[in-house]
Amino acid sequence: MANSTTHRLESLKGIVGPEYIKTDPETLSTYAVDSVMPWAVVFPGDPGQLSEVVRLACEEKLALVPWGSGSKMAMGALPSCLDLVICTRRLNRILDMDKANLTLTVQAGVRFKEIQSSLVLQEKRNDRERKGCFIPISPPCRHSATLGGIIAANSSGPTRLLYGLPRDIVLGVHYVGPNGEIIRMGGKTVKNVSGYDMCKLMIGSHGSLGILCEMTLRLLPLPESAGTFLSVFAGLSEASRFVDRVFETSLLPAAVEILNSMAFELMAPDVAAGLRTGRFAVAAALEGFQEAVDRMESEIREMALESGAEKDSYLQDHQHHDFWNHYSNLVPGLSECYPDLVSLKLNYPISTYIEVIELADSLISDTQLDYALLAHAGSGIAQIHFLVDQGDTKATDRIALVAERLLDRCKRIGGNLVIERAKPELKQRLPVWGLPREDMILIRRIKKEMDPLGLFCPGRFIRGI
Amino acid sequence: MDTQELIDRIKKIVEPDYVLSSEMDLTLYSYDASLERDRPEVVVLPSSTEEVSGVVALAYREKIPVVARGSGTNLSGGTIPTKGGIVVHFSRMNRILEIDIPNRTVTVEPGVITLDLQNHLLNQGLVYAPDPASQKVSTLGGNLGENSGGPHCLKYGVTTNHVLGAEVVLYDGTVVWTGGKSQDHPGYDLTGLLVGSEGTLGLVTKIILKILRAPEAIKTILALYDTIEDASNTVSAIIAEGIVPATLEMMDNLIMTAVEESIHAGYPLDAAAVLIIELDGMSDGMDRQARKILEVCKRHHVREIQLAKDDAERERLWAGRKGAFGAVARLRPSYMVCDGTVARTKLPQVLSRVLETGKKYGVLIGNVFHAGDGNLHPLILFDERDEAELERVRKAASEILKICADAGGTISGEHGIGVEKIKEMPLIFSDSDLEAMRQVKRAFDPEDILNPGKILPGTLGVPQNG
Amino acid sequence: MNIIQLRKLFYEEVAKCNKCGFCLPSCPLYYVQKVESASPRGMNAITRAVIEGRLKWSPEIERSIFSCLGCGACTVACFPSVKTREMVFQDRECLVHEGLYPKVVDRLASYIQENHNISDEDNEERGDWREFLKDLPENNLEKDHAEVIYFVGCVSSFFPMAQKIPANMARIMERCRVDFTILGGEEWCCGFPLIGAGVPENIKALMDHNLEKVKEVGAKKIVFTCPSCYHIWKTFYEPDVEILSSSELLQQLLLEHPVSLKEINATVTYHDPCDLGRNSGVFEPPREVLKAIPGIHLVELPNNRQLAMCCGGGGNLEMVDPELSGKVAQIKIEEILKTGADMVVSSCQQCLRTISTRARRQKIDLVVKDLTDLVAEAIPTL
Repeated sequence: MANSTTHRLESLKGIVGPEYIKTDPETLSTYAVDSVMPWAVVFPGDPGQLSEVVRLACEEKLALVPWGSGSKMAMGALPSCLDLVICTRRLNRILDMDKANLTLTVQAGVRFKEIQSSLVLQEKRNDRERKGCFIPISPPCRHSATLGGIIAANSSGPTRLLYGLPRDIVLGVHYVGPNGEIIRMGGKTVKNVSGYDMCKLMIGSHGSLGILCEMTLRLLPLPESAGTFLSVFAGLSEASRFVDRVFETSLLPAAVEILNSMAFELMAPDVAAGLRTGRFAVAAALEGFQEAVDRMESEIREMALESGAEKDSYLQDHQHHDFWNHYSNLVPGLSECYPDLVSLKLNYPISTYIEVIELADSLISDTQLDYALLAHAGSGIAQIHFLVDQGDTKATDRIALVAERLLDRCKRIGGNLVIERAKPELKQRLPVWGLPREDMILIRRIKKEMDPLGLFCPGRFIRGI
Repeated sequence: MDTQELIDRIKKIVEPDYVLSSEMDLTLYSYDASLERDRPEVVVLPSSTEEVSGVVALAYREKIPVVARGSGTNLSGGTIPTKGGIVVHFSRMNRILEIDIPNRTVTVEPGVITLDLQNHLLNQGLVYAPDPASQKVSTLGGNLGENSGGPHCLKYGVTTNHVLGAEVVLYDGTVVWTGGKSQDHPGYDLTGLLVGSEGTLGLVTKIILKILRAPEAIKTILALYDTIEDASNTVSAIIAEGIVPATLEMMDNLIMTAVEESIHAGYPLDAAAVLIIELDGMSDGMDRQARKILEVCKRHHVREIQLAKDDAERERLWAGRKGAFGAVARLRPSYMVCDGTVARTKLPQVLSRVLETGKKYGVLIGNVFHAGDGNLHPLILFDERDEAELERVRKAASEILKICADAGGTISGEHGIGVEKIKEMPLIFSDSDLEAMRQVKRAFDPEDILNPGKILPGTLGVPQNG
Repeated sequence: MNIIQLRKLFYEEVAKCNKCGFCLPSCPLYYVQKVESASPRGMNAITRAVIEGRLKWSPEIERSIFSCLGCGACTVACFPSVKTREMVFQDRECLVHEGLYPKVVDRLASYIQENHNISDEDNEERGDWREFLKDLPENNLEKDHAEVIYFVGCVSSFFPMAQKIPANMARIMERCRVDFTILGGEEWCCGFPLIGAGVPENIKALMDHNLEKVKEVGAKKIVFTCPSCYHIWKTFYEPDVEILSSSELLQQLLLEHPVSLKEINATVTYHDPCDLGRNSGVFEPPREVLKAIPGIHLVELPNNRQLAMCCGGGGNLEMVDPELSGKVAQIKIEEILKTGADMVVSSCQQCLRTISTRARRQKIDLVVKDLTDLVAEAIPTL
């Protein structure tokens, strides 16, 4: 046994170089998945190395978990088995930044924030200015998240309302499949129906079918103007009256978020100062051509006032960007203060958001727990973060009860509930990925066909596949 | 099981009037809009999911291929029963089941005609965005199977960006829903996988589609050029200005001349290319965008610009584009529409190679295409009955695909692989890539019952049907 | 007609069909039947397969080919304008040659042969509709010489539901002092039903007879209330006199004799008869006539003019398969009802019959009128 472990280690060193494989306890505990420590952490330097590492792991039947920046590692059920964490952070090359064709090809370990910052810059070429562009998604943890992680976790954010989801912008992927082969799917063009759309399969598969090593994304020209309209309402019914009115018009806001007072306070302390609890705020991001943004601002303000807004504010320039940066970094920020933070993600039909938020609000207020609620109005998604004090063991019971009731309701109206972050004790008590649907038979069949040995993230994804 | 017994058994599942097996009927379901031909053993027109499920379950037990078909407008032979078996024609399942405005969805059966849905929605100020050229006749089930595009896909994305869920009959007759009105279901994006799978993974019996509010303003511009390069460069330059129009369509001289002769759209016969540019969305700022576009056009030596002032003028500017296939169809008895995609900045280079290919094989090629997203549709004109010419056409078409692949593009933008392009699949995919797709196929259809012999070259490694 | 002749006439034509399917949504028969054999593309494919020897004429083909309404909507939708309608009529000739045809064809042919009309009645009864005109002297209608011949057509002559049309047409012409005559028992079937039935061999005798009568009367114009008679006179007979549809004559009359018309307050939609509109190009005269009646508000059907959808009465389908014809009429009726109009007006006795019969059978409250009916109502002294 010891011999074979040594041999294995040597082989891995041979692939990535001795300095890029770690087995020291400190590193291993940093890369523990839901407190389960791997045997080793490998840092391949290019897709070829990644491919060889996976090939070796498959030969040796080692259980693998891919790891980008680790920002999404809280997601998933407890691993049933874990040998190797494969960290993609050295796969950080920008392969093709094609602003003329509005496409970007990068390796999986490239960080979202870094690449976004260079995309938005204007360029001068042949005496003509080329406008900046951007990756039209607004994922959480934008400071640390890698593009591989964002795609694998199907991360999205507020602006999905206008720009869509990772499935709408991923044009091509390269991934390393379970026998170590590099599989290349999709391409560089928006229109592409050559063969199955395997990109869709990789988006949101959480590493259960392969490890992303490269991807091509569709970019959009940077909007000419942007701002955020904030308004605060006495209750949910006033806030929702406003939101529904906005959606009845032909205005095209980039995002419309409903926030409870806690969430609002965390993100816009200045505007929220002195706000009593029980209030709901609405944050509408307005992006586009100057004239359109101006009109949206004035019409939306009018609608907010007519719907009974108690307070409103319009953020521009850095204030606007700061607000959404805060939004994106809410979870990492909170998890620093509250290591036992519990995060739920609820999905439901768009039109049922009031009933879901009302239920959540009433169930949680009984628990006496502090919580931040953020809902993507117009997309049917809500996030609930419980700010659990460290060592508050009773909180787990109360949260479990709330989560069960919410899951039950979401499921009944055609949605679901995912526990995105929780301590292992809570994860063991609840279905982390919500309740499976009838398409589970296909999910199992795909997993079995594509990862017959079950080495990719065993136990972690839906129903423990 | 012999064919007669199969027919008798199917007649117990589906109303006998809608189970067709005469020589005539088999001949009539042996074609689609491609050049491929092959006969089924029986044709079924089910009226419900239960009937589809019954037929598929029977086919699975008896190991008989099942091929789904809408209006038969497929351009790559996807609906041709190359291995015989049962053709399931969805024309009777054509109901719009629900328009759910609060959830911005519409639920339809697969046989609903695309344009019928669009007209129905437009009455309520709503749109279903994908607008394939065949929308007047194509079915939404077919659009899903092919992941159809269309001019407006430049801004709004293709079919897959608008499909939220589907009820699907699996290989053994099991019926499951994938996706739904709620977004972000945990699990694999099976809906995304089904879209564009050309009926090889399941038979879709209900579809939930995303609907949008109709744009409040539309502006249409027509620009004429003396060189294809200038027109192509304009396309890239508009986008570099930060404007993504709803459509950016282009036609070359051969097409324009044909259009002019048939519908007198007002095109000068000596122009090299025409661009049709359409903006839509909020009205604010649209005039300024249009002015910017005009500046870009001028910078790229536009010869003449027309701006539609009203709906009637807009119709007139589009008439030439919409009449393009018709106009060309008058030149020779048959035409083949190729379909490749490249990055839009590669268009000028690829187009000139396409024209060279036409000369090399002595075939007439016109170009009408979605320039904005780099999707070329070279139209090769010929007479299908002239076998020698047909052979040259096939060779030229294959070479055009290679040109697209070599330029870093792909061999199908919106028409699918079907049977026609199977042999070109290795141009863009390695053995491992193809094997990964075969894994998906085996997961969905372990015995290769559903539209066998399509998309994937080589064998599936499953028991073959007799 | 045999396959060799068919090939000569139509192989080039049918080869133009690219199977794109754009004809499918334009075809009322496909809309109702939903099978490929009911579609224009299917009929093209059948014809081509037979010509190329891949299919043999069969009872299934007979059913398909004899179901075509001959409405011509497919050719309008078709990029290369394949003439499916004309081809189907030739197919029918081949099928008759092979003995594959609906029995009703024999009956029709023998009636026309023996009675010179499509009914089982003596041709002398052609003028029965004059019952409606007891107030007018009979000799006003049948003269030896006149400037205009009113060619009534078989359907309006023999089918009671349509007999009001010639009566009203005659009244209007009387009122406008048109010097006209009918041919009475000397009017023979125009021959169109024989073409539609695939037995055009005997049409020559009918044409010769009718043309001879025109000469005898010395007429300068012939007017038709039946679009099919009008269509065949225009395309086959080609006499050296003016050929007018009732709508064209009515338009002229209203221009030349400005009668002050009574107000009729109604929202009206106009159904273009296939043989008058699409197949003969007469779209505007009936609309102009309608607009000339005070109080009439005209709303168009979604499918109008070139795109008008057949009522189900075309191509002899009513004789061959009345139930199928009724189903097509049903979708026509639904299209009409959606306009919210108080009535539908056509300019064809066959459309009138098909639409009102279906409406009556389905207990649908729908007012169906011929253009002549409405004009007669609007003329004060009539």
